[in-house]
Amino acid sequence: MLAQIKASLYRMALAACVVAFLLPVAVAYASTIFTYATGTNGVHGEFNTTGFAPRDLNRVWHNAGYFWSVAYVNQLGETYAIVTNSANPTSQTANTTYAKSRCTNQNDNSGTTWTCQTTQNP
Amino acid sequence: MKVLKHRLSWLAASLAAGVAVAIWILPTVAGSSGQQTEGPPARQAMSIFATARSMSDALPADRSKAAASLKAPANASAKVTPGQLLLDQSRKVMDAAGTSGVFVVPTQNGWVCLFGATVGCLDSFESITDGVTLGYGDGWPDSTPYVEGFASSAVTGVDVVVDGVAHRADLSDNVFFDRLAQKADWPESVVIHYRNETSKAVTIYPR
Repeated sequence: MLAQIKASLYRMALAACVVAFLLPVAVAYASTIFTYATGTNGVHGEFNTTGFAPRDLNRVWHNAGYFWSVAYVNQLGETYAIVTNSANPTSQTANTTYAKSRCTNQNDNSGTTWTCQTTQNP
Repeated sequence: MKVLKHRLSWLAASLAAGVAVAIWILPTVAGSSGQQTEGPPARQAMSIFATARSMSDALPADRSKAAASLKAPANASAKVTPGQLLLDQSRKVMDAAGTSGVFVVPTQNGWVCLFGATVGCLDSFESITDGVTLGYGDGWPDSTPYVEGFASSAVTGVDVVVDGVAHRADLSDNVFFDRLAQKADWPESVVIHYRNETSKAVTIYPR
């Protein structure tokens, strides 16, 4: 009986250690910003994350003075949270529950490398 | 008691290891250091930074998330890297509907970042055409569409055209901002007025 209690205490301790290790890693990973598209030029190019996920941020770093748009896309294919800007970055910082992130090159033929980023794993 | 202490030490060690991995993840994936950009910096062109700073110039807490994450990708060129925000030099430019105000914050690289309905930065007024940066959006989730941007000292006014009717955006200290009345509104264009009494219409991309 005592051995069983001791064994389950050890299991609980092990589980607590695993949680203690994974929790900060998971928090960091969830709030980490990922690049989902990058390149140069490509006017009118439209780039999306491959999957849907909760998002905290969607933005594109680009040469100031050229227009980019960012938006979220829901499962019905509807776009929302649209931001267009010629300042850098063009960014949407509102949260959404479950969406693809999209960036669209409106007129950037500057030759400078642009980078579309969002949160959650694309 | 000894067993409990032993377990707590393992728990603490696991937590420390997790935090260490998290610290490694964040700068590896998201971080970057600033680089100097070319050309006259936007900060030098904005006289608001020469004025005395007051308590109301501090960037509000609701912008801290956007400010904290404003780091260009690793290996990004100087043309897209604002550099570290100098939050202790921020200035409030104006009140604005649907936000806690419009603020400008200089960076270590001489850029200026505008915190209005969204966030965008400018390296130099020489980088932009028509004397303005132009930002607009649908105001999602709980506000109405907006138009905002930087304006060079050559700009005297910005008109926002909705359904064929123009109205003047607020313009102060090289920044303009306008909040549209209705969720369904969308600006068709802006008309930029210059000190030399010319003007130019800029078409806005459809929603």
